[in-house]
Amino acid sequence: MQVRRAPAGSLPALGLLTLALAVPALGQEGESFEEPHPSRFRVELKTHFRSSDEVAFPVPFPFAPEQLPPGQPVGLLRTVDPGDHWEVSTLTLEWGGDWRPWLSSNLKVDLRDLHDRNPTSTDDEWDVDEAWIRFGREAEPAVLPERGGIYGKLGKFAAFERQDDRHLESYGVVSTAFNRMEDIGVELGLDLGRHLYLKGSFTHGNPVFMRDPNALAGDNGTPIFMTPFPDPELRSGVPILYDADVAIDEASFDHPEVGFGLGIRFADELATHGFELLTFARRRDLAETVELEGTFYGGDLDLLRGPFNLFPYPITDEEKEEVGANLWVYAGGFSLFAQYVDQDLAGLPRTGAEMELAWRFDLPLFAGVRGRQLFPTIAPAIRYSQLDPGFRPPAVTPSPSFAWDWTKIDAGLRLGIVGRTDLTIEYATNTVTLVSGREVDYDELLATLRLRYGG
Amino acid sequence: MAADGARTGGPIARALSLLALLAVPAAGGEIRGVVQLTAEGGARVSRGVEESVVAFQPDRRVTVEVPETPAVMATSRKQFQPQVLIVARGAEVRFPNFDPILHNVFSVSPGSQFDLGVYGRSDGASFTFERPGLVRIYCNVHRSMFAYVLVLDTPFYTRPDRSGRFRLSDLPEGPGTLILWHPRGDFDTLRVEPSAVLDDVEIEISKHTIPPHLDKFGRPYRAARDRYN
Repeated sequence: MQVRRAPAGSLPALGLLTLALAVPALGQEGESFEEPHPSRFRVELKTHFRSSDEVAFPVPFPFAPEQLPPGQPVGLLRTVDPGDHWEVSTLTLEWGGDWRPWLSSNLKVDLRDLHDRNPTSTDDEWDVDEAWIRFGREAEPAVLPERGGIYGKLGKFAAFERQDDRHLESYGVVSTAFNRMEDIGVELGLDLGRHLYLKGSFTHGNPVFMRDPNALAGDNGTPIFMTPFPDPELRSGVPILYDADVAIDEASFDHPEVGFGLGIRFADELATHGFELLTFARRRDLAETVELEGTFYGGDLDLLRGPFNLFPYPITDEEKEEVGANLWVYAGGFSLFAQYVDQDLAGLPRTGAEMELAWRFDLPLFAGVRGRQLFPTIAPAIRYSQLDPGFRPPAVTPSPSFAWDWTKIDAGLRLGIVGRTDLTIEYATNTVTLVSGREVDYDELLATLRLRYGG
Repeated sequence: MAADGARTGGPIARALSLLALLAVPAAGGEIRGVVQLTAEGGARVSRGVEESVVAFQPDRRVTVEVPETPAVMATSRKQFQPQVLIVARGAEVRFPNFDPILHNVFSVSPGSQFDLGVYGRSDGASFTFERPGLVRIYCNVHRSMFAYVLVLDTPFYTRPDRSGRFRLSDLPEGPGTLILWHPRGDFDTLRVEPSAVLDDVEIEISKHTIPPHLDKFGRPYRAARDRYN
C-alpha cells in the first residue's frame, strides 16, 4: 500500500475567476427578476480543477501476469487518476415546468457526465438524469404545503430521501452508497394535512455495483482488460458498493424496488426556518446479474459472488433491505442535513451516517458586473460521512474494499461570483480502515466552477 | 388613520391615557413628551428611540401641503436610504438606484401596491402615495432590503431625539389623535388635547429587524436553498 500526496498549491484561482468574469452574460441573479413562468429552461456547465492523492492497495487475488499491466506483479486498487487535472465534467440541459397547479414535468440531460459515468472511460457520455411527469403538488423538504394533498410522479427521478441542495460538489460516502442515482418508476405522496406525510415508490431498482466515492468512479471491467497485459489510462479506484444508475432505455421491472416513507415537517410560512424528519424503508430482490454499460462485470448478485462466482462475499440470500432516517433543518442561512441508513445487502449488513452543515450569507456590495453583484454570497460547509460494513471480505477477492470501514470528511466553501456563476472549493479527507485494522488517509482537492443560464 | 397594521388602544395608549389625565398645560398649541422603548417583558431599550415617529392628527380638518419636489428614497449599498420616510398624503417619492447592481422596489401594502420593476443605477421611478398609513417597501432581488414610507394626513409630526424627547408645536386648537410608531413596534394612538406634556411614553419593540415578508409574487425568498445535484 502506498500513498502519494498530490503536489500542493497549484490551484489557479485567478484563471477560474477570469473565466467566470468573462461570461457574466450567462449569469442571472439567484432571485427571480421576472414574472413566474410555467416553463423553465436551464443550461449548466461544470468545470473543475482536481488534485487527487495517489494511493494503491494490493489485493489478495491471484491475477495471472497477462491480466496485469506490464511490470505490475500484483493486482492493485489504485486512485483512478492521481495528480492535478483540469476537467469539464458536465453540461446539463434541463427543461421543465409547472404547467398547471396540478401538473409538472422535468427533463434533465447530462452530457459528458464525467463524475457519474461508471466506468469512467466507457460508460455512456450522456445520460437522461431525470424525465418525469407529476400530477399534484410535492412539497420541498422543510417547507409547508398550503394544504394536504396527494401527488403521483412517473418516470425517472431521484429517491425521495436524497439531499437535493448539497453545499459541496462532492458526495459523502453514504449519499454515494445509497441514493445518489435516480431510479425509474412511480412515486406517490400523501400529505395528511400540512405536517404529516407518507410516500411510497415502486421502481426498477438501482443495480448494485461499485465505484470510488471520490470524484471519478474508476475503470473496472472495461474492454481493455480483455486484452493481455492491459495498461488502462484510468485505474480501478478504491471502490465501495453503491446503487448504480439505471439507463432509461433499459428499464425492466423484473426485480423492482419498493420504498416507503413517513415524515413530519414544521416550518414558518416564509420557509426561512424549517424542520423535517423522514423515516424510510426500501426493499428489493437482487437479480442474478445485471448488464451495465461499458463493463463486462455484472451487477447485483453477480458482483457479490466475485469472478466466475467463485470468490463470493458471505451473502446468504437475495434480499436488499434498507431502513433509514433523514433530518433537514433550516434556520435563515443555516442548513443541516443528516442521514442514517441501515442496510442488509443479501445478508451483508452495512450502516452509514452522514451530516452536512452549511451557512450561506450575503457579502457586502463593493462592485457590480452588468447589474449583478460581484461576490454576492459565500457558504462555508462541512460534511462528515461514515460507512461501516459489518462483514469481512473473502480471503481471496479482487475487491476487498467493499468491506472496509470508511470515513470521509469534506470541508469547503461556495463563493457566488456573479449572477448564477459560483465557485466551490473543497477538500476531502478519506480514512479507510483495512481488514487488518490499519488506517490509511488520502485526500482530494476539488474546485468547481459552475456556470448557469436560465431558471 | 388607515394605517397598514395599525391598532389602537394598546398598552402605549393606556399608559398615555393615564399620563394625559395628569397632563400639565404647556404654552399653547404644543405637545411635549419623552418616548421610551421597551423590549418584550418591559425591559428598557436604550438605543433606537430616535427612529420613532410621533404625529398629531387634529380632529379639525387641516390643510396638508404636498411638496412640488418628490421625496427621495434611494437604494444604496443594498439598503434603502432613508429606511423610514415620512411624507404627506399625495406626495410623490422617487426611488433612484445608486448601486452598481440591479434592484427592484415593490410594495404590497393595501392601497399602495406598486412594482417599479428591476433597474440599474439611474434616477429610478416614482410612486405617488395617496392613502395615509404605513407602506412597507421591499426589493424583490434582495430579501434583506426593506424600508417604510409613513404617509400622513397631517403636517404635525416629529421624531424624538436620542434621549427620546419630542415636541410638536404650532398645533391648532382642539382635540385630536396622537400617533406613535416605531419600525419594530406597532402603531398606537391616543386621544389628546394640544398643550399636553407626556412623560415616559413607552413603545414596545418586539418585531424582527428585517420584517418577515414574501417576495412580490407571494413566494418565499429562498436564500439558503439552492438545488444542487
